[in-house]
Amino acid sequence: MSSYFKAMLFIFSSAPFYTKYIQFPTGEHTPAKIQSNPKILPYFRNAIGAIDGSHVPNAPPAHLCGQYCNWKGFLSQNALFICNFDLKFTYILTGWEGSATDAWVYDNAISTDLSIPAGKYLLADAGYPLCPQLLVPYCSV
Amino acid sequence: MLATHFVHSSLSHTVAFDTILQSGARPMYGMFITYYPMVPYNLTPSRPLNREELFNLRHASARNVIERIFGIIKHRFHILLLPLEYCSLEVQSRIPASLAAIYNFIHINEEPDPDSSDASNEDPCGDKCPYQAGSSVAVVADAGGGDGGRDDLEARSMWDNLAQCMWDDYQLILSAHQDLLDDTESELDFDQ
Repeated sequence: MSSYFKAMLFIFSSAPFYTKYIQFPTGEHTPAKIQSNPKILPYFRNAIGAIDGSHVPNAPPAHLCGQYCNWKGFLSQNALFICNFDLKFTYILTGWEGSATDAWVYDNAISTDLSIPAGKYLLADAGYPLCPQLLVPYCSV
Repeated sequence: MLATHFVHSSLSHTVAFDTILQSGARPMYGMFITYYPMVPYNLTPSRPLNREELFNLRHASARNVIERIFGIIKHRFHILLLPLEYCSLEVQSRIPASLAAIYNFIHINEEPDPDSSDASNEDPCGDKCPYQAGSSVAVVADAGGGDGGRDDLEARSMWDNLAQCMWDDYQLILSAHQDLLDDTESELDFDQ
């Protein structure tokens, strides 16, 4: 049972299944959800999705528990998710310790395999750095 | 609030009616008296007061898609809520990625739900919101079309530009709305 679970897990999380169903947008077309909403169309025309981190509980070996303890107080891994406006995931980066911040995970993603098309950006929350690829809200208003 | 007084009705003579003063959320008919809706002193003061607040409001409403998708995937796959013991770290780190791929597979291949057809796409403001604003669109397009360099100053100017465009358009809409209200009031005065 365990070996079958593991085999299926590896099938689902690697090519060709994974690469077929999780594709990062090229940003050629403005998403339909943005186009249909006149309140945000002119302003977020170049947005290609939203980005956020989520803590997924996990069980690390005992000597790593310190690193995997997050600010909420439980053991977790910090997973970075990007989704588009059609409610589909377009990028996932998992496996970071729970103590890593969202900005750190994003920094790692952008320095490895995440590439955002020029002129496009993602909608992020206040935990992310201010840079041309991320649109973050104003703090303390 | 409850008030009682006597009304001499033409339909039933010498009958005491209870008249209930109630909130404007209910329709006005029969014995219920509602106040005029949409007058400024009745509205909850929830309007954004400056461009930063307006930007954050629009930003949050556009960004809530990711919070929704987290809710969906964690509700659908309860394995994401529980620590998976007796598995290596690599296996545990592959679980969210594979579930996201499975989620996308389901999302692409499932039958569309006939009950949830385009209800979320309706704009409550409808044609009342003249979000044309051609000039600001051009400005935003320029701001978004930078070279993508990691320059904080560039990002900040783009950000402020966007918020300023939003705020200017919002002021236009507010003044248009105010004109509409004034017209309605003057018509009412004329009728009286």
